[in-house]
Amino acid sequence: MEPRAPLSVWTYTVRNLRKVLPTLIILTFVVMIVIVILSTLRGIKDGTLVFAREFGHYTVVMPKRKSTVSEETKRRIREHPSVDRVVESRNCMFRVRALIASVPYQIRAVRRDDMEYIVRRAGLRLVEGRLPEPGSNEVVLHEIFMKANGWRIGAEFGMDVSEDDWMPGRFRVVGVLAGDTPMGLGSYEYVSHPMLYFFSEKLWERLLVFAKPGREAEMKAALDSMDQIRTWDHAKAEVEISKSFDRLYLIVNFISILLIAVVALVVGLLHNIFFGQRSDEFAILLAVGHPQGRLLRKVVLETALLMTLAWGAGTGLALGCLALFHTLVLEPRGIPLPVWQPLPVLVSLALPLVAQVFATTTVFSRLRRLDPIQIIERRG
Amino acid sequence: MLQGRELKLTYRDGGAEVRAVDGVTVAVGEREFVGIIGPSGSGKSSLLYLLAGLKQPTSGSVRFRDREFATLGTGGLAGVRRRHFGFVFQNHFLIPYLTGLENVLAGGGTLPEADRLLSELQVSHTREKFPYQMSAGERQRVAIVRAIAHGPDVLFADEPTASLDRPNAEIVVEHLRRTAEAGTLFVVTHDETILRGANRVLRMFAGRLTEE
Repeated sequence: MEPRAPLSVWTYTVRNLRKVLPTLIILTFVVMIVIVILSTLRGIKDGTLVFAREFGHYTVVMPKRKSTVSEETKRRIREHPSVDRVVESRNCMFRVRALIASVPYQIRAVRRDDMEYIVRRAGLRLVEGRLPEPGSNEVVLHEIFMKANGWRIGAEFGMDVSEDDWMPGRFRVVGVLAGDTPMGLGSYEYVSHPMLYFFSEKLWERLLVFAKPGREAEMKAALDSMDQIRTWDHAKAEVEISKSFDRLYLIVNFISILLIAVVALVVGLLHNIFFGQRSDEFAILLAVGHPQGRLLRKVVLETALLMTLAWGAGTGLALGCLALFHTLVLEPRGIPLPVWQPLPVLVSLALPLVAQVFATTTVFSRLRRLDPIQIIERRG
Repeated sequence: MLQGRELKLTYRDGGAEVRAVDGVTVAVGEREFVGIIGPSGSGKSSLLYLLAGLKQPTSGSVRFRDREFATLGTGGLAGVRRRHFGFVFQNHFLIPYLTGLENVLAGGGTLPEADRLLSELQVSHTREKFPYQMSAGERQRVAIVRAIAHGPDVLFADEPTASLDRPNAEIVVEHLRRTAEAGTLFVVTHDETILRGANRVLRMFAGRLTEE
C-alpha cells in the first residue's frame, strides 16, 4: 500500500469515515429537504402561472362601465396597425381539479376560423380527436385538463351532468390539444344561444386581441389608452399570482433560514466534538513544528471537502427525488408543477457555507488557544 | 550550540506562585548526550520545553546557534523545531488514522530515510499498520523514527521509556545512544539506567540544577 500524504484532507476524510459520515449524512439530507421543499413550493406559483400562459398570446378586452364593448371601440382596435386579429369570444367555464380543490377555468368559445387561428398562434396541436363543430356543445381541451380531471374523449360536463358544475347545459369533449399553452376551445355559436345564456350573455363577452409579432408593447399601449375598456394580460396575471404567494413565501423563507441556522449550529457542534477528540494529533503536529497556519488550513479544507460532498450529494438526491415525483406523481395527474428551480439550489448553498463558517470559526479559536504542552503533560 | 541562560518559568496554581524553573543556566554542545534527572515536579520537563522552544520563559533567554528564541515569533520557533529538533515523549502521540510509515512522514522525514530507520529499529512490519495494531513498544519505536527521520540537530526525549517494559525500553535506549553519536541528545528521565554513556548528567530539584 502506497503511503498517503499524512496531512492531506483526503487522507483524513477517507480514514475517518465513521466520524465524517454522521455530519455528511445530516447535511446531505438537510440540503435535499431544503431543495425539495423550496422547489415544490416555488413550483406551485410557477405551476399556477402555467394556466396564465394563454394571456401571453393575446390580451383580453372587457367593457368598462358598460355591459358591452361598443362597435366603435371594436373598430378602433381592429384598425390599429399593431393588431393582427380581434377574436370575439364567450367564456365557458368548467371545473378543473387543481392542487387544492376544484377551480373554475375558462374555455374560449370562438368561431371556427378563429379557433384554427388560436391553435396556430398558441403553438398547440391536436393530438387526439377533432375540433368542435360550429354550433355544437363540443369542446376541445388541453391534455393537462384531461389528466387533471381523469377524462377521456367523450367526457361530459355542465350542470346537466353535475349540479356542482359551472355552465348551464351539457358539454362534450371531442378533442385533446397538446403544447405549452393550456387552453380550452368551444363553439361561439353554441354559447351565444339565447335560450341557454340569455341572462348571462353580457357577462360572458370577451374580445381576444392578438398583436402582430413584435408589436405587443405597441398594442398594449394602444389598448391602455382606450378609456372605454379594461384589459387583462400576462403581466397582470403574473402580478396577481405573485402577490397571492407573497405571504406563503415569507413563511417558507423564515422556516428555511431557521433550518439552515439550526443545522449549521449542529454541524459546528459536531465539529467541535470531533476536534476535541483530535487534540493529541494537533498537539504533536504543533510540537514537532508544523505551522499553526498549515493546521488551520487543514481544518478549513477538511470541513470544506465535507461540505462540498454533502451539498453535491444532497443536490443530486433532491433532483432525483423531484424527477421521480414529477414523472410518477405530477405528470400523470396533469399537475403542472415545474420542479426544476435554480433558486432553491442556490439557497441550499447557504447551508454548507454557513456550516463551514461556523464550524471553522469555532475550531479556529480552539486551535489558536491550543497549548501542545498541556496536552502532552496531561497524557504523560 | 543550544544555550539557556538564567531561565525562569513561573506560573500561578490557584493562589500560589509555582517556580517550575528557577534561574537555570545550561549549555548543550554538538554531539553531546546530556541527561537531566530528578524527582517528579523538579522542573526537568519544563526545562526541556524551554530549551526546545515549546514554552516561553518568564525570564531568561534561550539561544540555538546564532538565533535567540525571543526574537523569533511563533512561526519562527515552529520552523526551528521542524528543521532542527526532534521529540520523543512518554506517550507516543502517533496519529491514529495514519500508518506507521505515514506517521513518520508526518514528522518531516523522507520516504527512503523513513524505511531505513523503521528497519533499523526493527519495526519495518509496522509500515502499513495503524497504531492500534502495534504493541506499546512498537508504537514508541515508530515515534522515535518520526523524531529522527528528518535528521534533527537535537533530539529531545522526555521520559521516553516510562511507558515501556524492560525489553522495549532497552531497544529504545540503545537506539537513543546511537542517535547521540550522530547528533545531540537531551534526555529527561527519572531512570538513571538510561543515562549510561551520557556526557553529562544534570540533577534538578525544585526548579534548580543542583549538581552536574
